[in-house]
Amino acid sequence: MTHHRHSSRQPLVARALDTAMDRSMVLGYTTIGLRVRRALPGWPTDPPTGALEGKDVLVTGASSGLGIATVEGLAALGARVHLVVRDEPKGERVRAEIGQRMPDAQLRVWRCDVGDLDDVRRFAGVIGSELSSIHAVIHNAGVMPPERTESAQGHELSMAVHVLGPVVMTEALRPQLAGGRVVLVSSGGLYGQVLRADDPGFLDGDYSPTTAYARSKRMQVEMLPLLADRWSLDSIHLSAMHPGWADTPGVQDSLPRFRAITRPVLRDDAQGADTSVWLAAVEPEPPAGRFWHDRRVRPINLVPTTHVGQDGRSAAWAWLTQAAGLDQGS
Amino acid sequence: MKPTVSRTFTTTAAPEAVFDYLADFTNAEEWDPGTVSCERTYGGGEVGTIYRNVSSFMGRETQIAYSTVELERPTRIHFTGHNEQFDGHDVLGIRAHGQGSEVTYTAEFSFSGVARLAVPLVKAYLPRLANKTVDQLKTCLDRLPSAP
Repeated sequence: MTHHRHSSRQPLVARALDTAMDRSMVLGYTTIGLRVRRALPGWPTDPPTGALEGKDVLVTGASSGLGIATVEGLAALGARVHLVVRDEPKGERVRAEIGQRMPDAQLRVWRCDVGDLDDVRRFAGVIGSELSSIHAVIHNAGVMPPERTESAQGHELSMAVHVLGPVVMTEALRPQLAGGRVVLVSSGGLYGQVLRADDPGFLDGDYSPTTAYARSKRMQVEMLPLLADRWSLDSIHLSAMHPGWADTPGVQDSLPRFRAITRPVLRDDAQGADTSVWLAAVEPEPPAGRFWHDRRVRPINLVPTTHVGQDGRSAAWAWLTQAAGLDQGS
Repeated sequence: MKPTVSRTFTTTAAPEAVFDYLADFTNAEEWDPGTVSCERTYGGGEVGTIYRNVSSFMGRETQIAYSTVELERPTRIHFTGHNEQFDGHDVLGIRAHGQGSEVTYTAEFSFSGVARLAVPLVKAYLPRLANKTVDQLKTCLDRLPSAP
């Protein structure tokens, strides 16, 4: 199988240690995990200097946390980076700050509310008419609404921002993305949730922000292979990754207790963004449709209870194709 | 958890060729080592088409009615199989990969009645069955045309 191309370069002992850290989560997902992995033999090499020279890359949710670090990582490889943000003045401030640190960075700010599918289609139309070729999109925008919230189209907001917006944006930019790459930024939180194809809107039971968030991330990875198949027809390479436990504004606001306990070992944003940047730039292109963490393919289930049957996956796909307005093949 | 097995492999055949071949489930006679015979009993290959499949499974012959439930040319094919003691899914995901394709074959099984007792045995047997199936399937697919 093709994914062995990347893992087989690592000696067995190093691979075993990497995997053991991954399954323990606490070791693997923290700053310790990445530091140890980088020191292990077989760590996949960094993309070469200038790997993204002259290429256009979009980053959603670019004005905070992991988004900023992702922009910087891409810009450091020479990419023209397009910061796709909901709050334009904030995006401009971030652009100016990054510009001070990296005077050569080529940055532009675009407004788009990823949770509003009409706005996503508008944005894709505007940027798509200006850029004939887009090398990559990093779908990084994230929300964790404290109360159950509906998007402009009536979808539960975390599902709209993490699943529907990215799918609609990618679909609308298929011509420009031909031969390019798309990365879904997911979350290790998905390991605790099973796919709920019967309730994508979180209408049953008591709403919990962390559950809604993790369910939407579960939906991302369950739909990942199907979307990768679909977009492969235009040679668009889709991956998903999770950043580990990073000290982001999302964690600071939504999970203060988690942060209080884990803060000393939480990753910084650059560590969290590492795999997204790597996936956008590494050559040769890694196999598509896989779920990554710290530059390696990871499983999407760690416990038997989150395995979903084919009926559930089909129902989720039917919901997604309808909600995102994907046309079906014959 | 229902016994499930999934295998991913590459073939030199183009996605459209893979799809057209696999969407016609009568071709299971050729690619599925477990299928003894497979004929169409209703429909013309589209969603809703029904096949009568005679399979040999761990030494016993059994008749299963298969239906086409999803077809998205050229990336997704989903059949369900049913008889009194068995419900199953065969799902094929087809991805463009160079001039050929990367194919993911997933089979899911569930049993009712006395057949439930066979679940541990099936689970133990599945990996071997899957490898055999994938070898034969790949051989059949590699004979099909690749992308121009």
